[in-house]
Amino acid sequence: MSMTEIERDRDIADLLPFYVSGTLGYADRKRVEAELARNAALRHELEVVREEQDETIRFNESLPVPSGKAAQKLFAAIDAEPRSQVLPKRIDLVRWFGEKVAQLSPRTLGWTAAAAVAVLAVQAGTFGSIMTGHSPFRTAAHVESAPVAGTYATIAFAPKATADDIAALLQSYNATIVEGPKAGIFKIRIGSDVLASADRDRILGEMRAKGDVIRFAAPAAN
Amino acid sequence: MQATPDEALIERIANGDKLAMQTLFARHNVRVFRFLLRIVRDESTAEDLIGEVFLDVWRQAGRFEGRSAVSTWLLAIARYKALSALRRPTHQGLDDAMAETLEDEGDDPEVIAQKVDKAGVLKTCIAKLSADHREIIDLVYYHERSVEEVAEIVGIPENTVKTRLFYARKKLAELCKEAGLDRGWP
Repeated sequence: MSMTEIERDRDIADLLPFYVSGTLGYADRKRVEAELARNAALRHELEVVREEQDETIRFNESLPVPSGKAAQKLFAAIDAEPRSQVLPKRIDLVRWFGEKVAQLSPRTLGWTAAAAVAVLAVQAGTFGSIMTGHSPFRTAAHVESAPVAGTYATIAFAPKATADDIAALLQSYNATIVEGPKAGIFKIRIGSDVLASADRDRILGEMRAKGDVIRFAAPAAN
Repeated sequence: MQATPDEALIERIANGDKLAMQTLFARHNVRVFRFLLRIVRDESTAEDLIGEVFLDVWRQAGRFEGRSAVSTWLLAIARYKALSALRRPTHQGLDDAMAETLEDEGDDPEVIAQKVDKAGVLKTCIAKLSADHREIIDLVYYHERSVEEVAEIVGIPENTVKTRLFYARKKLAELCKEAGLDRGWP
């Protein structure tokens, strides 16, 4: 196979370093594998890329590690830090959504806004009432201050999850967002019953399996 | 037993949990330190900077939005700190011992070829790449960052990530060829 063909397929070849590092998405990985199956020059380049990766890892692993002093200095500095910034426990989702939309550019709205939209769609039902602040949304959207019966979990949404994906997932488990995001994580309540831990773990496992929507899911206390 | 995810550690750190901070530091300090070291090429500067990086994490954990992996966030902070340090007039520059470890610009290609085998040539040539090129090679191959994550850390468009990586690899191949190692690509 000629170099010209390799150049023509440059967009595939440029994915090889990410392919060997395991950071390609499913579709790109399949594209690369399909091309590798028929393109000998690309298979040769894959070997070159693997050598590069091996030696880059070997080189970096030969570098020193930080001394114990670095950790000592860090934690001494942390001990000396005033801890004034505590996140509010009660979060008004109406205000939170408004602030998010105001802060984010259209390009970077991403999952945070998508999640907000989903929360609004699931918990309020209408978008218009958010903007006007009319009830019943406001009541429903406030973070609950007292524990309510149910099974609780913390979740993080996948960066590319859409509002529809999130809303559908939450609805399928009768789940409600009750807090967040804090450090990118939402607290949700799944149904109104306290589930057995096996049932809860099964649901969280199912959520984790939906990697295109959920990036992280773990049990949480009430 | 499943390890606590980084995101959960960050949430706990945002609430002032020092144990979570220790766990996060233990999990990531070596890779972040080596990333810093590759940029500043001075061990004591990198040691100072790693403290600054994780102190920022302690202070800013509540603002982490989870739009990227925690490890990507750490590398982005580290890169910003390292580049800021390089701009400081007080930066000490390259320590002699580290210079030997990190870069070998004194050797001409023939010497390199004579003193090491194929893997050694490759390793030596990796060390000789420019700052931009070694950064992208490290991020992709060692830190295992995706196109999107590299774009976020370095602050360049995703297509530029691929282009820069291609030219870094091409430069690496040229350096290897000069050292007598023709890998048959490009």
